[in-house]
Amino acid sequence: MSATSNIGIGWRHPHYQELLERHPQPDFQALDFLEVHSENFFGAGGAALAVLRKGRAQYPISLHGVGLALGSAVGLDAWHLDQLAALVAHIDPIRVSDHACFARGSLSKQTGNPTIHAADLLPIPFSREALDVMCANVQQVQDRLKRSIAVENLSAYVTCDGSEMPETAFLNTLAQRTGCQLLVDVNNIYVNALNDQINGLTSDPLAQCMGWIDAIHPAHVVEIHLAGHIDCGDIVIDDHGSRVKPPVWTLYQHALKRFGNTPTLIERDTDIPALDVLLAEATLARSFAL
Amino acid sequence: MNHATALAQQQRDLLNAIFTTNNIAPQAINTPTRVINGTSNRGFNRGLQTYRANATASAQRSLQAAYPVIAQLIGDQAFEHLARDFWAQQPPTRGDLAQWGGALAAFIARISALQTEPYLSDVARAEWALHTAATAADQGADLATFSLLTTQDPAALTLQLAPGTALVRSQYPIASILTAHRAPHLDTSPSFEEVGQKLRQNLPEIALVWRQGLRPMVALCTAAEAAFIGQLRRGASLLAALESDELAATAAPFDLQLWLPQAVQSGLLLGVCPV
Repeated sequence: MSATSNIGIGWRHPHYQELLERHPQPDFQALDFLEVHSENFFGAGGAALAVLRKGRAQYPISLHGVGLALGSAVGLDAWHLDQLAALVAHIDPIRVSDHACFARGSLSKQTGNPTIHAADLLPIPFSREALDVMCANVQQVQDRLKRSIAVENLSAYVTCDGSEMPETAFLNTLAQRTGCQLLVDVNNIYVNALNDQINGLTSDPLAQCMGWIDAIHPAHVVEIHLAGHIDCGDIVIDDHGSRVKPPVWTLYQHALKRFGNTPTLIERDTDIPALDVLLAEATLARSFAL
Repeated sequence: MNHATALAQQQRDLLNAIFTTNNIAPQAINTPTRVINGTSNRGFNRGLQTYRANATASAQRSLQAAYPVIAQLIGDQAFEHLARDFWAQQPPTRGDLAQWGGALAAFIARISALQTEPYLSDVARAEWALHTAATAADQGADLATFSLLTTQDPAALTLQLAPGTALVRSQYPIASILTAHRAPHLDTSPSFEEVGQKLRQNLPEIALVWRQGLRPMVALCTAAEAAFIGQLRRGASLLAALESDELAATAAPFDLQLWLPQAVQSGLLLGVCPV
């Protein structure tokens, strides 16, 4: 994709001030971009937005959403889209992304029952109907933002029946039909493969993941996510709470060979370590550039 | 767009399964949501358990951010129960969890186990006002506009208050409770002993919430000051606010000359503008 490496980290509250202060120092290994969760900056004003403006003055910003719920059959929340559009206009991010998931719906079929938001990334079946819903919702977002967005693959802990195509075909077709881009989370692929192994669906998680990566059309991929996960024995959870695991680094190198050098994010959302730990992982990611 | 389809039904079923606290067999779900391995109830329930654990953690984290004093007052265990029950009974409706929790004060008021601490609901109302003020639209001070006070008719002027300015009236000493817990290190904050004494005396208080620059603030507000600020918030002119029945009804002195510099210094008052 790109001739050089392009590495960023998830910029979270514990590092807001430190990163701003260290940026101008000569010994600081600068990052190529920062990623923030869009929803954390939906307010009209205040401290969070002020710090994001300062970050934007030093770095390109990638706005990564966790709440659009692009696969929801009930459609998008107009309020959410309004907030995102205002933030995008304000920050002028290099990328805008969210997930191939649903979260919105009602608990009852009865008319007038409120639509709730599960505040999680819930799986969708890879069916023609779900693809139609995703395409319509992604298109609505892109029309509103007047730019394309990137859609990320999930780690899922239950599988919805009714799939009619592989996840990779679902994502490729989504990109082809809407002009959206793809954000490939390598850790998510591996977590799903490990859970498949626990459930007897694969004996070689790494090979399954490489096959997944090989099936994604490189032209659609604009960002890669790397994160840690936790193995609970009976399930593997994508908790973003530890360093990137060695097999995920192996898959990352495979992904770079497939997609070319691609903007890559080190994600850490729980048990957030010292900034230097994240910077070291960013440096390691940079070392794999082709 | 509303797809009244198999997909909508499947998503409704999964939401119900996650928001239902008991384990549920995949066969009990009408539409074909199934386990990772396709057959095992255990695997299915483990997946649901993961989503439920995420929900519980999100509920606690979100409410803790908005209601740190309530969390201190009732303790970790009770707060965890509160967050879980509130999530189950009044789930989020927005994808931004900072928007969730505004109804907690009313929810607390209905919990019989918390009736022994009747001030909690009002403390929650004030904390939500602080939470809302934190992200209110920015507005800077314009000190030059204060010269209008010497040249213009006060009936044609009003005072510009800080973003997020709100008044929370209570039968309990909520301003003291909040300041004691939010800033116990400050000399201006009452001690916990003093707050306890006020609670035993059933002292009513009005909490004034505003944003000082980027920082949400809360302070004890006199009845006269609250009447004056309340008038300004409703769009009254400076003259109308000073001569209002509401202010007169407090039967308390309100000295504008004394109040103005303090209000400017605290960031509550940003400037003067035409009505």
